[in-house]
This record gives sequence, structure tokens and C-alpha cells, in this order.
Amino acid sequence: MKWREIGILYRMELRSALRERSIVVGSILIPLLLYPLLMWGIMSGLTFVMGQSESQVSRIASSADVESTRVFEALESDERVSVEILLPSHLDIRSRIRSGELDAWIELMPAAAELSPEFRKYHVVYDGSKDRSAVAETRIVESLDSLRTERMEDEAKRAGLGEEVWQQYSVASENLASSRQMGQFIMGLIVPMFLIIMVSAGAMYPAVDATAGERERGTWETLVSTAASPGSIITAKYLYVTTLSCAAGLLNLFAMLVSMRAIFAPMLASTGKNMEFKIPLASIPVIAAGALLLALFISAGMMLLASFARTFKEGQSMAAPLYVVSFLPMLFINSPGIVLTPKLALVPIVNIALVFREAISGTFQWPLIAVAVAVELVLVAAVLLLAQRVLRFEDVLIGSYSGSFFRFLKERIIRRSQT
Amino acid sequence: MSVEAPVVARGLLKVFHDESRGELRAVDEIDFECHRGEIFGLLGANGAGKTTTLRLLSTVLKPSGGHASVMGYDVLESSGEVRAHLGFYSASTALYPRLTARETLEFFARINGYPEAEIENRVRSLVDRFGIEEFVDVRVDKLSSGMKQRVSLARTVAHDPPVLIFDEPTVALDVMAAIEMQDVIREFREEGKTILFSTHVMSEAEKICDRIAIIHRGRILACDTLNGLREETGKHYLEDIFLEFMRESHD
Repeated sequence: MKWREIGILYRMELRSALRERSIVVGSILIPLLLYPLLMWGIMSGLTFVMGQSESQVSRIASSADVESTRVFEALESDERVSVEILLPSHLDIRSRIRSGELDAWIELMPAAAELSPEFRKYHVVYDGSKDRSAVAETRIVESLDSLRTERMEDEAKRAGLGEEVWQQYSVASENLASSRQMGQFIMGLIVPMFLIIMVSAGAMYPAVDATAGERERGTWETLVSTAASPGSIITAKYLYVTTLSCAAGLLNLFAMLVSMRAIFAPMLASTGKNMEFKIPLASIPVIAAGALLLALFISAGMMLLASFARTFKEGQSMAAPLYVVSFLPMLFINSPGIVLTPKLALVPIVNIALVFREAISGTFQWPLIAVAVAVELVLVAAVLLLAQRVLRFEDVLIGSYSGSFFRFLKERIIRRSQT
Repeated sequence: MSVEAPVVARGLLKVFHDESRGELRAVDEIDFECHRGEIFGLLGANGAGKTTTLRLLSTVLKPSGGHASVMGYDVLESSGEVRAHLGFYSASTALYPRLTARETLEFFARINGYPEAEIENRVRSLVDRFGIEEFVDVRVDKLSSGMKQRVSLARTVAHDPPVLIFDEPTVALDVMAAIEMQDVIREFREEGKTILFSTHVMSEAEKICDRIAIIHRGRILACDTLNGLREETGKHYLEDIFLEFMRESHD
């Protein structure tokens, strides 16, 4: 293995890959643009839906006995509401609400004998599966609550009671977390998962292209008949796939931070919640090293699986299981209470995800980080050793073996070691 | 002291182990030599062992037994040196579609160890020789099949190797392209290259090979000049000569 050869091959692979649309899209554009586009899309969608609901007038019908109450007055004075009294002949209320012709219905329930004659119980009918109907119900409840508060204030005033007496207590919460810490908490939940997904996605196309794609194009035999050793060829390909995989992860992190600061933070600020999306400088090398370790492992695994394929399509289906496996653990640990412990530091991928999460909030448990790094390195070494053993088989190297990695493992490695 | 031929095979053997068919001797202890400035033809039907022999010589495959050398380098012990001294061309050796013709030639010259300082001049001379100038900066995937063939030939000799291997190079080519290919191979011979040329097309072997080895089921049945083979069998046409040896081997 010569580094000069590896350098020549690496540059050729990278140059060639950066001219392939699917690789540029999968490893660079998606990681870079996914978050801004996703956040912009979600925010625009939410704003549109909220705006639509707020601007629509709620069509509320009431029974005649409500007309004489203050509730009817309150509803009628609300510009966002139109109230109509329905005659008994129009009382097919439920089907009209279900069909969207009407948003809500309000009626008075018969007074219960044991309660005060002043006590009124209202019955509101609406369709929770319809946004407009749900908004109408909220507006009715808001009107009723506001009337109740007014009434209590009047009664309290009449009885000479101050607010502190009839309200009994008030609550003033103090959040010890700074806006920056709150931002880090949110990022700690989101960033590790997407970082791992993007490192995997970034490795997928290059890994398949460098192995199965090479065979499909017929360039594999051209390459192995050059003076470069098979070791140099495979090392250069591995480094190239790792580069794009790692780049996808880090570009994604950058895009995520920018999007959160430019789109998410102002939106939260408009609702009165201030969050600052910044990560400590010291965590950047830790996150970059973690992304590199993940990229080394995922790239090796995907190349190993895809090297048994003869076409790009076949390669994709062979490498896809690792893609799923790589981010499956994230679904189980995506709870804020889970932290890096000695046991979790031994679990591949999960350990790096937790290192990411803690690094984002500026926490560095160095002994556990060292364990996590060691575990990932052992895993990478194991995959590379397996790849080296597999590539000793000539038919795999030249692409004449027809079968998947798992079939090969069963036929050539497990069965032979048993005999 | 005798000078060893550029390409030598002695008792060269390749055995494949097939899960369903068992042991398969694709190349069965063959011997031959190819000399400088010679086109040595391997003539045989599909599956006779031509490609396997050439893959053994180009070190893509490892021999199961025997020896072979290229320019004095053993194919097992010095595989890198062997590959640096030969150019391998076959219908299955495609070009990188996303590189330009110039980048392709530079890459193959560089990876095969051509002196860095001379690569630019070498590429320029290849571009002139193979008439690539017009499309030298166009990506390979945008080229016509004729243009690709020229770039492919130029890439085979990008590092100016003394030994060239052509494995059924005219398969899938039209008549004109095949004739052009044969002319180029003859030119390489004139330059003193040692050329191994495999084909199953009798007329092609007849036209361009200085010596022909008839290969069948991994064994060389005969190896001589066309005239030598004619004298040995009493037949004139290579097709009849070939059939004669086939018959003899079945008897």
C-alpha cells in the first residue's frame, strides 16, 4: 500500500463523485438544505393554518333559551363569531356540524333542582376533527370563562373583597435555565438523531457507487489491472466514502444551527420564549471526532455489504439495512432523561449519540468519552478485518461471486471455520 | 546467457472451485512465450480459457500452480511491477464516465507510475496520436462509442508499457471500428511492443497474429505461426486448422 497511489485514487474518486448528481444531492445538498427548507416549510405551514383558522368566522348556532343570557350577548359582540338561533325544525345539528355547514352548537341544559337557580350548565357540540369547529368550541369556552371571571370580580367588589382574597394565590415561576441552556437542551434532543441519519445517508450513495457502481459501469477491471495494489484501491475508496459521510454529518450540523438561529429562534421569540441556539466552542472538536468515528464505521459496513452487488440498485438494497440499523437505536434513547453512563458507553452508535448530546450542552465526561471512542474504534477495526478476510477471496474481489454478504458469511466463513 | 522473453508462462494452472460443478481447471498447465515486437494470438471458443489466461498474466487472478512472468517480474511475487509494465484492454474494461478524456489519460499515466514531470507531454502526444483533440475536455459519458474506443486505447498505453494485452478487443465493434483497432494493434507491434491478443474470430487471428496458440478447455492444443499450423495439419484456412485440432483433442 503506497500513500502516493492512495492520494491519486482518492482525488480521482472524489472528483468523479462530485460530478455525480445523486452523490452531490445525497451527501451535500440534502444535509445542507434539509433543515432550512424543512423549518421554513413547517413554519410557513403552521403560520398559514393558524392564520386561516384565526381569520375565519365561527358559525355558531344556539337554542332559543340561550338568547336571553349574557353568554349570547358576549358571543354576538365577538367579531370572530356569528350566532344564529335555530328553530326546533332545524335541529339536525349534529349532521350539520359533521358536514361542516355549522361549526358549533350551544344550548342550555335543564337546571338541576339541588343547585342554585342561578347556576347554568351549557352544552356545546362540535367536531374535534375539524379545525374550524375546534376553534369555535375554544371561542365559546373563552367567552364563558371571561364571563365567569367578570362575574367573580363584580361579586368580590360588591362584597368588598380584594383580588388577593378571592384569588387566594398566584404563581410566579422562575426558570433557572438561561435562554442558551434551553436552546442547548432542545438541540441535544434533535441534533444527535439527525447527525447520525445524515452520516449514514452521506455514506450510502458513495459506498454503493464505489463498489457496485464501479462493477456496473465496467470500470472495476480497468482499475484492478492498473499498477495500484488492491490495498491502495480499497483504502482510497474507503477514505473517499468516509470523507463524504463525515462531510454530510458536519454540513448538516452547520445547517441545523444556522436554521435554528435564523428561523426557529425568532419564531419562539414572537411567542415570548427566548432560546439561543449556540454550542460551546469546546464541543466542536468532540462532535467532529464523533462524526468521523461514525463515518468510519458506517462507511466500512456499507462498502462491505455493497461490494457483493453487481449493480447500483442491488448495492442500494444490500447496504440499506445498515442505514436503518444505524439510526434505529436513536428512537429508543430519544428521551431527555437518558445520559451517558458506563453501560451506555459500551453500546455502539448510542454512545456517540449521547456524547453528541452532552457535548452540545457543554458536558464532557472524559472517561466515558474515551470508552465510547474505544468501542467505536474496536468496531471499525472488526469491520475492516472482516473486509480484509472477505476480499482475500478472488471471486469477491473480481466480482464473480453471486450472492449477498450474509450468504457469503454462511458459506465461506462460518461453515469453513466449523469444518 | 539467454534473454528471457517479455511474457513467459510455464505450467500455468488455474483451478476454480464451483459450489455446484466442483473443481474446474480453467487453465490447465499451459506453456508459452511471447516475444518483443510480436502479436501472439490466443484462439479459442468462448469458455476455452483465454480470458482467464490473460487475467492471470495481468495479475487480476492468482495462479493455482505454475509460473508466469512479464518483463521478468513474477506475477505472484511482483504483481505491482507486472501491472506497471503492461496495458490491459478488454471489452469489459470501461472508462470512468464522469472524467474527461484528458483527466482519464492523466489518471492512468499517473497511477501506473509514469514520471510526473512527463505526464503533460505524454498526454499531449496520445491526444495527437489517437485524434482525441476535439473532445479531450469532454466527459467520457458524452462521447460516442467510437470516441470512447480511441480514449480507451490511449488509456491502455498511457504509461507506455512494453507489454499489451488485448482480450477480445473487437467484440461488439462494427466492421470499421474493428479494422481501426487491428491497425492500431499492428502499429504497436511496429513500435516493438509485445502483444497478447485473444479472439474467437478466425479471420482476425489469421490477419494480425504472428503466432497463434489454439486453446481448448484450458489446454493449448497447438502453438505456431499460421504457416507452421498449415504445415502441421495440411489445411489452409485457420477455421479448418482449428477444427482439425478440436477433432484430435476429442479423439
